[in-house]
Amino acid sequence: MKKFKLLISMMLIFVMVFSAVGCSSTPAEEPQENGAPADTPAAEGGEAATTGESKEKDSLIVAINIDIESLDPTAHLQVLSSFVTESIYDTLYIPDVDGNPIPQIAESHEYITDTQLQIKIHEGIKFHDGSEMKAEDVQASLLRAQASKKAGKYYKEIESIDIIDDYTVQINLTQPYIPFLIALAHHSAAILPKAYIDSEPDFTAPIGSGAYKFVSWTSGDSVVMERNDDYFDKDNMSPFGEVTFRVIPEGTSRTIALEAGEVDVAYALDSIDYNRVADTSGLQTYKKDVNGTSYLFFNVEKAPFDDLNFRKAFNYVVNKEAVNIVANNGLATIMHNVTASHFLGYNEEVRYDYNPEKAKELFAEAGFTADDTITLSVYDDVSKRIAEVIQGNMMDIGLNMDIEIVEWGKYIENTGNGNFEMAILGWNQASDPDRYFSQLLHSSQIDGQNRARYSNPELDKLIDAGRIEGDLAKREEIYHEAYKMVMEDAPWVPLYIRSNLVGATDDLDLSKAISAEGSFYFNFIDVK
Amino acid sequence: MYKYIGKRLIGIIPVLIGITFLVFMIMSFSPGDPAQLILGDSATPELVAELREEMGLNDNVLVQYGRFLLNLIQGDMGTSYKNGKPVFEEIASRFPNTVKIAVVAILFGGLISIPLGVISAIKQNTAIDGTIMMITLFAVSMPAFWLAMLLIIQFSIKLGWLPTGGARDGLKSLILPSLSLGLAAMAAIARTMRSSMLEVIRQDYIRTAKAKGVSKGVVIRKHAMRNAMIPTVTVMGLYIGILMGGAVLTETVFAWPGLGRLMVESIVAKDTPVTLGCIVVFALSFSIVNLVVDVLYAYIDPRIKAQYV
Repeated sequence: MKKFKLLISMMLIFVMVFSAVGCSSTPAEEPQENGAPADTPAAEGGEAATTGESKEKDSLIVAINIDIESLDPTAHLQVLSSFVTESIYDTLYIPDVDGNPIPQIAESHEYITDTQLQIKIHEGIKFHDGSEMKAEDVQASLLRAQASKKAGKYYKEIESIDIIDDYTVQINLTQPYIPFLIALAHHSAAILPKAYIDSEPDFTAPIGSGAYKFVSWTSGDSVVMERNDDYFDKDNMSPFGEVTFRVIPEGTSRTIALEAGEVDVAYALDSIDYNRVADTSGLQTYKKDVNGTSYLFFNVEKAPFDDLNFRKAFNYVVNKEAVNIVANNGLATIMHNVTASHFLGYNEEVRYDYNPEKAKELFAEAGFTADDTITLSVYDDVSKRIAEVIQGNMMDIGLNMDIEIVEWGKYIENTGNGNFEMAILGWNQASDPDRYFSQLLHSSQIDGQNRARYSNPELDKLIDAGRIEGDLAKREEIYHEAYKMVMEDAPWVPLYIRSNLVGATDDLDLSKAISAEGSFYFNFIDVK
Repeated sequence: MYKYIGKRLIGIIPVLIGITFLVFMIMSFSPGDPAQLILGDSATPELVAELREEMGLNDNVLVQYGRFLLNLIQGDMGTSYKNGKPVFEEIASRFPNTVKIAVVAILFGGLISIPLGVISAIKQNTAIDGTIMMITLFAVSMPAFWLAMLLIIQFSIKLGWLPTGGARDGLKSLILPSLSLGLAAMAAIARTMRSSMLEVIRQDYIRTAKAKGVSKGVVIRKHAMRNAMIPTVTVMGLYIGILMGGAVLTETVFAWPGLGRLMVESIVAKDTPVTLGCIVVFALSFSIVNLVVDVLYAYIDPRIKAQYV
């Protein structure tokens, strides 16, 4: 008995000691229900975290969540890889913080006709190997991008590229395409030396003209770049002598590394860590809405989703506030139409706010009863949580919905060939409505990206007109009508606009560095 | 002995063929198209079909496997579907990191658990024995990622002694991930050591040695431990193999660029060449570790050596 008591006592002591080791001195904060304001500075007097020694700002260490895929700008479509390739290579244009193209290598442009675009580049731009950038490099780079399997789709409108003089190219398009400058702002339109392209490089030692030169890539661990002291844009030289990307896959580990002072910037903060980082002395957070939309879509070729009343009813039944809380801790922006609200022509003339009573009425009109059921396919933890909220919303009005979890590869296959009822996906493109309407909602894209299999000839006409209309006011009217028309037909339930959640030390100003597409230009960071 | 080693090495070949065949079939028939995953979900069906043809994915699956095997024999593990890098390079950059934490974890585990197992056996049914067994039970019950987080919070954040992750701080980087893995292995090793010590110390020759006046320390160290080591070395060998292949959670939490993480990422991305490359390396390592363990037996117990000669 005595030995047993001693054993129990030792056990309890051990558990207490171990629990004390695990307890944080910082009490966990409840997430805000309505989302944190953008660009939240660190709260004064907040619980101090162990931030470690301060860093010299001739180096910047950024924690990223996955390893980059490639240093070849045309061989990847990955956001993280674009952080690196957009640092090493420049493009003719880059997206500003709202996603609109602004000149980088390009000094000026002029439409000679609506299918002939002349672009003059700055003189004296040096590649990292010391050679000067000329028009032939631009021509070779863009044709290479067009030929690429992954990125070629952005340049399919290019018929040919002529060299006008040493610093001027003329891009001849197959048809008028107003958002073409946006394509030239994509990371895959990076300008490389023609000689380097002709050598068929393996990109182990990439050569660009960007604000940074490549130093090393340790697979699964880090990428290191150093400042290009010969960068042509002296107003936007890098404030850092060296930038290192550290791959830290686990969200909590990234936050811990930031709090411990091991990194200066933590990209893709977990939403549960956002408020805690915001309240930590010496740290700050950025919440930047990117163009990335998350939306639920119906297979409109199948019953009951072919019934407009059903689709409208479903739009009314989804509680988007609750979806935002479970998916993003309330930190995303709720969506009411196909794109983010800053896009040309955006309006909410047709909008479906949460209204379970109205939903019930419309479901009844559609003949959908408690004896019926429908299936929402999902592919990961976040989409599953969204589905559970919606399932709960349906149950609240006495109706049923099943959830089917499908492996990603199969999910893409099923939603591509119409082998599903409802599903959830995301889309992230440049800030032009054509990039969304023409690919996701044009009937020519059924069996492609129009996974809702939605066909509306009137909308198709508007989309076709919008892509070639050069007059901005007329273009805005076209898309105004398109936004209204698509929501009247309700092939989707728009859910939310994703946000980039970034944590950083409070001596850095990242407000100009992150664009709406999610691009991150490190030479645009200011050191306070 | 050399003949025995030679036979065992040759015996690895059918094992590798069997494992790679099984994994290749599973990857080939599991859902998801590698070409689609490479090109992204916005690629046109025509482009996907073109890439599938280029990659040889439309060939008969046995032909594809044969091609893989032929290349492997020539030392070519292929290129990654995801980033186009040679698989051998990818693995070569990560494998040493995995070996490091596996070996150091076992050393940690061994250094702590062997003495604990011995003490536990000697003090059987006492409070010390109970405490040690409780500690080992606790260690084996803790989820690896949770333990990893606790260690980071305590040693990196609160004390600031060690880095939170990564592999760039030399030995300092190795400590926490190895400790996290080693504690899990510790339980199995300690328990095995305890039970085999209990068996050995009850043997007649131990009683004889004590009766002849040999000191307790010498009896334990020179006679009992050596005979009790065989099962313990077996478990340690098994654990090295397990740790090399299964340290994904620890590698993820500590951002350790190891092979476990690479393999899981390649499976999710349907990057078959990388997955197969990792499997080959794991199977080979496991087989060689087991061979080393078997050879070690001969040095621990001369009676076993006589069987090989």
